[in-house]
Amino acid sequence: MFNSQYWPDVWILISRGFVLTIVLSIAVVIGSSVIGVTLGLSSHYGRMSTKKYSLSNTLVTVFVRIFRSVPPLVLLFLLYFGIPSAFDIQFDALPAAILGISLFYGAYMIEVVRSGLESVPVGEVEACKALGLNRGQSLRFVIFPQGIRLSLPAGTGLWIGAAKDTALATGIGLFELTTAMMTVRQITLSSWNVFGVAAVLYFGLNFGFSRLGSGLERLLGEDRRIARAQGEKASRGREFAKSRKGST
Amino acid sequence: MTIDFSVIEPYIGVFARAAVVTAMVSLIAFGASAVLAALLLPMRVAKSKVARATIGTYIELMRNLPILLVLYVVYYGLPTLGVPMGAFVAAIVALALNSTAYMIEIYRGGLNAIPIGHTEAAQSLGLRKPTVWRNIYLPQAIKYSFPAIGNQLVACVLGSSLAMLIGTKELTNAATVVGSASFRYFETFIIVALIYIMLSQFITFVWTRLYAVSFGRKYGV
Repeated sequence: MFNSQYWPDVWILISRGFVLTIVLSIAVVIGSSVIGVTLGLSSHYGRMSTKKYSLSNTLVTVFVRIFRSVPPLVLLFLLYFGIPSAFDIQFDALPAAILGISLFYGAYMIEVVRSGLESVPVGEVEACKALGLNRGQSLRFVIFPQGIRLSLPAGTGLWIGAAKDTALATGIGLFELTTAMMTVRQITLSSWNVFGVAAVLYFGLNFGFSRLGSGLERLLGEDRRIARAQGEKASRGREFAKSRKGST
Repeated sequence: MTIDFSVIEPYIGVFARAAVVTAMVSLIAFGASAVLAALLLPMRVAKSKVARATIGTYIELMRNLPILLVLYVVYYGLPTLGVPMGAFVAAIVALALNSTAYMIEIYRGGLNAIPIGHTEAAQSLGLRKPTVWRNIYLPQAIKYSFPAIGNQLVACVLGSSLAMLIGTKELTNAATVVGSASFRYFETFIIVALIYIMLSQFITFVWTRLYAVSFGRKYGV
């Protein structure tokens, strides 16, 4: 690879950048998921009410509409340059980057979680009502466990998107992989080697997140749980039938 | 410190010009990717393994790499191979490269929604492959994937903001220029955020109407 006279420095720079990119992506993945799940749940809780109008649902919709339509780069600039210039709040570059990207992808995540919760068959919700569960209970025990699994595939896509967009942190001067890459490019004057290394690293990182998503999906595996539940039901039914037979 | 939006007034022209550049970059990139993706779609679902693997690699690469990296490769990398590249063109090329990958997958999703009976009917009528693609597959695939295509257009508008990092004079770039000229970063970025919100809400609105007009029925919000 690179000219050997630059060797240790170049690799130190790249690995420092990569470590920061990993930290940023993990923070952003957690941040956007937390925003998505909490606000998605509260909006769905509002929608489950028998009243026509739900304040929480409206507020969440406004949040989604706003943050989905502002480019993450503008959000970063607003947090890092804008807010300190008007108020007495100072953001460091790292929290500003994490917050900005989490807000953008959190807004998308809310929609994903909402649609996952909504895809739970309506019969299950009716069954909850028939059993006398209140809104919180049916959300907690029936709708959430199934809905969250249904929203995992789309959520994984958003995680990858969020991890990719940590590259934007270069715009507010964080020394992450893209900044490291451009620095090394200026030192070594070789573009393609640098681009190649960065591409491989980003690809590996995202591959990790997509593995994490499919692993979680298997962990929460609906098929296995439903199969187990149905097996129990079936055996209980057989016992019931047997006991009836015995009695008559 | 006080918040005062009137200081932005002298710069309205700057924002308007920049908004036009943003619209041009994103629309050209989106249009190019819509056409390219339609042309590459048959390869994505071809019987030949080589064709599928080639397009599949391209899609995976584009979907797993940051647009920013693609942008830098196009802007700083291609000129070393003797391809002259300005900031404006580079922004369009990078955005289109990225968007094409997503568009192919969007079209493919629409294609999968077409009932198998249509293929069988076309075969039994003896239609040729190109005819089937042009008259049966593509129109329906576009119909089924219409909402997702609208989202991709919004993604193009938002993605065009990255072009400021290579110096394209679009909206985000204008915001930093005006901000550093007036020292009113908060107000400028709020204004620019509002312009982006208006742009994307406008696109969403028009797209919903367009769907209702072309295919008769409204899709959910």
